[in-house]
Amino acid sequence: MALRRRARRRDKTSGEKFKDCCRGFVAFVFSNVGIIALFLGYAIIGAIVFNKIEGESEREKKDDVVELRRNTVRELWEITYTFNVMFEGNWTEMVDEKILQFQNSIVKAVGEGYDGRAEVASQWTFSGGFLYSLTVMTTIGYGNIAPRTSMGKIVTIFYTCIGFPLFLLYLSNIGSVLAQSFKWLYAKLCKCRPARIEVLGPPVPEPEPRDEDEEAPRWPDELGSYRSQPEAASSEEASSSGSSSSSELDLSTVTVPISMCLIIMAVYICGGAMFFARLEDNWDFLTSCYFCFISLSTIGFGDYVPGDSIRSETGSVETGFVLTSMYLMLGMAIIAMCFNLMQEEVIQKVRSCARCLGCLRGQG
Amino acid sequence: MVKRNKKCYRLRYYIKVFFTHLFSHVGLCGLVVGYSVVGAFLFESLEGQPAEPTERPTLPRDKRREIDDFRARCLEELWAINMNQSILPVLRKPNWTELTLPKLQQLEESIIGVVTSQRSNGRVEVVEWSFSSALLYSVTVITTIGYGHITPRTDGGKIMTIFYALIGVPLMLLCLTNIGQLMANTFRFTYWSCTVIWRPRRPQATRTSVRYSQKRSSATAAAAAAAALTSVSPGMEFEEVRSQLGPAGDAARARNASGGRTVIVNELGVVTRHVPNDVGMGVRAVQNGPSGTLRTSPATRGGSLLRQQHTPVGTLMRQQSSPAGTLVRQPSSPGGIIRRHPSSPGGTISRQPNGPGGGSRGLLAEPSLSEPDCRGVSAGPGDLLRTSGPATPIKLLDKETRDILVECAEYVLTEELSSLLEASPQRRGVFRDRSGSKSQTAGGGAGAGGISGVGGSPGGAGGGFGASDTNVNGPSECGDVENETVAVPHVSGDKLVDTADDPDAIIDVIEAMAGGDAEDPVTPVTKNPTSATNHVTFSTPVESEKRQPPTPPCRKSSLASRPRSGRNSAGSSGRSSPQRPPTFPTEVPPPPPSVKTVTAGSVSPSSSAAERARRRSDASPARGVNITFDSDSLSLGPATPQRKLSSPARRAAVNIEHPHLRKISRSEKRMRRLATRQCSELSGASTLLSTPSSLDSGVYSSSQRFTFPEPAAALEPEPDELVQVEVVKTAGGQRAAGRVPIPLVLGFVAMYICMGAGIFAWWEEWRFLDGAYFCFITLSTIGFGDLVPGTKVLRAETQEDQLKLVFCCLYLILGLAIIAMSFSLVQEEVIVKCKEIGKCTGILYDSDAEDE
Repeated sequence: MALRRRARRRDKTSGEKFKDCCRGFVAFVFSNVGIIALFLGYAIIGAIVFNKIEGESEREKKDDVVELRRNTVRELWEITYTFNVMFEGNWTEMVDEKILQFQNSIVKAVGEGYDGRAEVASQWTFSGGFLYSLTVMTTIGYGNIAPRTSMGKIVTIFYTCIGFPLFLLYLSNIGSVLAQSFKWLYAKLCKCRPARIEVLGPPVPEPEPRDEDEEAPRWPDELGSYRSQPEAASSEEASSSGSSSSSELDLSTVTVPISMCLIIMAVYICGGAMFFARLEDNWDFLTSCYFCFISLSTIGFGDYVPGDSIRSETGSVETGFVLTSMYLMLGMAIIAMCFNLMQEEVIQKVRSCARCLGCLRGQG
Repeated sequence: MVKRNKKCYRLRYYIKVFFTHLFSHVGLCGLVVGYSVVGAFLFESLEGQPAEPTERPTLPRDKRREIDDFRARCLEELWAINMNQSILPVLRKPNWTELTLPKLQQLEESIIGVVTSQRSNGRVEVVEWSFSSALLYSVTVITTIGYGHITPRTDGGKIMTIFYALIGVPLMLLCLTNIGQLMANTFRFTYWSCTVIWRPRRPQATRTSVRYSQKRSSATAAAAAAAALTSVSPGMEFEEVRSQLGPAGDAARARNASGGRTVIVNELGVVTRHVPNDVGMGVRAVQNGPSGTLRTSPATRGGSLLRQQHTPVGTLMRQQSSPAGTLVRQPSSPGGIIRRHPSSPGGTISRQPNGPGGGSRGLLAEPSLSEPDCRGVSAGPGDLLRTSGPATPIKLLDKETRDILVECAEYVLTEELSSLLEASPQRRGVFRDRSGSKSQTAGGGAGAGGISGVGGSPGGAGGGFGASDTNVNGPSECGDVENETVAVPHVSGDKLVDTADDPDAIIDVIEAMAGGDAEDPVTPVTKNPTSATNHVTFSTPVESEKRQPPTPPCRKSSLASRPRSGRNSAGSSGRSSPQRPPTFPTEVPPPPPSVKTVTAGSVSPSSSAAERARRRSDASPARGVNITFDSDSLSLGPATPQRKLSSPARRAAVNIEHPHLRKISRSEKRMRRLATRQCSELSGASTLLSTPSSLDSGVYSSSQRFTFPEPAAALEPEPDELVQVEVVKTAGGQRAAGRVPIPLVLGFVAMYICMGAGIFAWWEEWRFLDGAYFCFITLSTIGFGDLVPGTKVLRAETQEDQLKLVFCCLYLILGLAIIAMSFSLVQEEVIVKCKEIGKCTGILYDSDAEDE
């Protein structure tokens, strides 16, 4: 990329314009919209690729098994035909042998990806592939759909290598955007009740910068020069933060309490649970909750996967996949947002704790 | 009240200790392990009991039996088809087949149902909830791998899983990031040390050289005094190594740097602190030679014998330097630094005396001060100054360096003046004695004696230099003479010592050439190597001949070398080897002049550089190269001397690159970048330390001045500041320097995956690809669960499966740590790359790159 850019720039004497173009492009790509588009596009590409690779092999595998079954029956008929007079012992012995072979080859076929649902529509539809690439990228990995061919496995590995960083990028970007907007919302809401913002907003951030900036570098020498500066700094901080928070809503000073974040997560999970409980026939609420949590925490057992139980009806499988994908993509971002907010809060809390100890120490 | 306070204090202390312990690596690991074990018990008790009694031990067999049952039933049905006349009065193939086929399909489906029991219809088949499988389960939960091969069936288990994950996942993340960081540092360090060792053998790779330079810079910076000492001393000791590395004196430096790095890496904070202490010690050491050495030795833990040898040298150097005051700071930069520092101090000193601007020449006026340093250092500073002129990339730095130098000079001056003037005579005596003793001790054996002699000599020389020089300051030449005389006696005791002394002086830069030559005759010894093996090799032919005559008296040669340096300085061309040999005895006086010349050189960098270059060219290409390097390094050094770290880095980089540089314009660019970065860093550091606002003006930073007057007390606080600065620099430098190429990291991860793949493929009788796929899916925490060890369907050995599950857990956790490590490593590299690309494409891109 860099080389290309450079080369192009050389060609263009009016490099400035090109630079601007490049800049605009890169800025767009790494903007929030661009990242979402990139993420989605990558998932779609993955869906197509895996659909092609795995879907074909799946169909082949199915044909193979059908062929195998036919062959076995033919062989059985041969046996029956040759033993024109039926002795159960002999016949059973021979047939048993054949069927054992059949069984072993079936087991092997299953190991290679045959799932026996020959009649049902392939799980490697487009939406299935999309869900698969999503679970791969997000490292959820349900495993209800997994590549069976060597090619599919190799592609999965490389797909993940690119996809996972992309996903992280998506997560951090969207997460921070959401966090910002939520903070803003929260601050707005709190502003309606002034008493609350006074408690929550300004006082917390005050000490924070001081600890970061002053204490760290000064740590080694705890002696003379140490005292004076923090005080001055703190006073400055207090004045600055106070003014900023009071006058204009400074998002950096707003912290959302952990409980709020947890509530958001719980609400999202419960909402998803209700949704899935209605969508899936045999899921109760708890199961749906469990599924949502396992999914959003990227644990992804895969013991419950939407659309799994109603696979026979192709339409609902599609919708299940699509809805699950949407739910996951949004949920991940929200979880990331919550973690973002919680992290701030926790760091602050811990720091204030430490400062408490430190203050005590100072007095002692 | 007091008691209460004390109690509170203790309580707080214990709490602090507890938490630090808790959040230390070990504590975190223990926490995670304990948590997963607790989880295993928990889930086993929750989930295991219902199914456990009957199903667990026989699961695989169970499945097999199940399939056998299916088969038997199928058989019966088939036979029934045969016998059932009512259905088939006559056996006809189409009819029979028609009837048989569904049966087989039925069988097939039932088999599939058994084999893929866990996932079919969301119905969790009976799964064994033994302890090991529960352990694997809890690990897969908190690592978010989630194979799904075992899943909770009860509601209690599901709820428990949710809350277990809520706590466990962040805990695991914390642990992984911690361990990953630790491993990343370790990996980075090993990589650097490896590269440093291998590097010299392939001088062609310019990139690597740059990296090395960075590494070195970082390492050097971090290594601080110890590193500096090591670098110098390593040169001495590493002679063997160098002989192997031979081609590049750089290699030796690199090793030294690496040694410094090791120390740094392992104990960044500690080391840095040590360094300051060392520095402080060094200052003290000037007073108390031995103590300084001892302290230094700890600093150089990494290098065993070599370092020990080095340490004496280093200590000596420090002692020498310490008198200068700059030494303390200088110690941060290894050998090169020492030289430079001394030089810088010398240069700075010289400048300062004269006034900041023309100080160097003024130094001549105060040869005594400069001289002591000058022998070793003076040349260095001169080089530095000179180099600053010649070295285009560093021009900016030069200013800073000058400022720094000024500061250093200030330090040096203050320290030297105060300490030396006051106690110089005593110190001399002490130093001499100690140096002698040290040299003896260090020298020990004959072969070692060479080295030890070097060390000892440096000690003696150092003592001599420092003390004598300082003393000399008053009576400049006389002092020098005295020093030399003193040194000579030592030399008589240990020839090597003299040589060592020479090397010290020589080492500083170009002079090393002469010193190396002199040394060569004496012994292939380490001393020469310090300056540069290259020099030795190259120089030997030319200079050795000239010097060889003196060789019998190695001391003389060394002396000669000194005089040479002095002579050189006096008459740049005068250094020509011929003069040296004869002058040995007489040389003693010359050194001061040499110093003067050096200082003069420093004053007029370009001229001095040119002279040196001439000399180099005269002497030999190799020497010239080395010299150039030195000069470059020096030039860099002067800029950074105060900021030892950065300066060393620069020096290192310069040193490394310069040999190749002539050919390499790219390296220059890189160097410039580095230099700019370092400069920026340095500038910050300098401001922190003591903003030498008007360096050129020679204004001493007030703080420095004040501190210095009281060598003992004042010095320590300063070191702290220095240390802090160093730490910061090191941290930054390490990031910059500690980068590991992405392919290497990926290769490492791939290796780990392949290893796991091999093991699992062997155990589970998977294909290798399946094993690799499994490992990847696991380590990326995707965890499909389509392949899980220990769950092979038609197999009975449960006992082994248990072990495998546990092994799988271990592999998993270690692997995740490695992944985290590689992530942090790759991240750094990628960020840097992106920023570079951004900068290449346009300044505005920086923001984008940063976003990434």
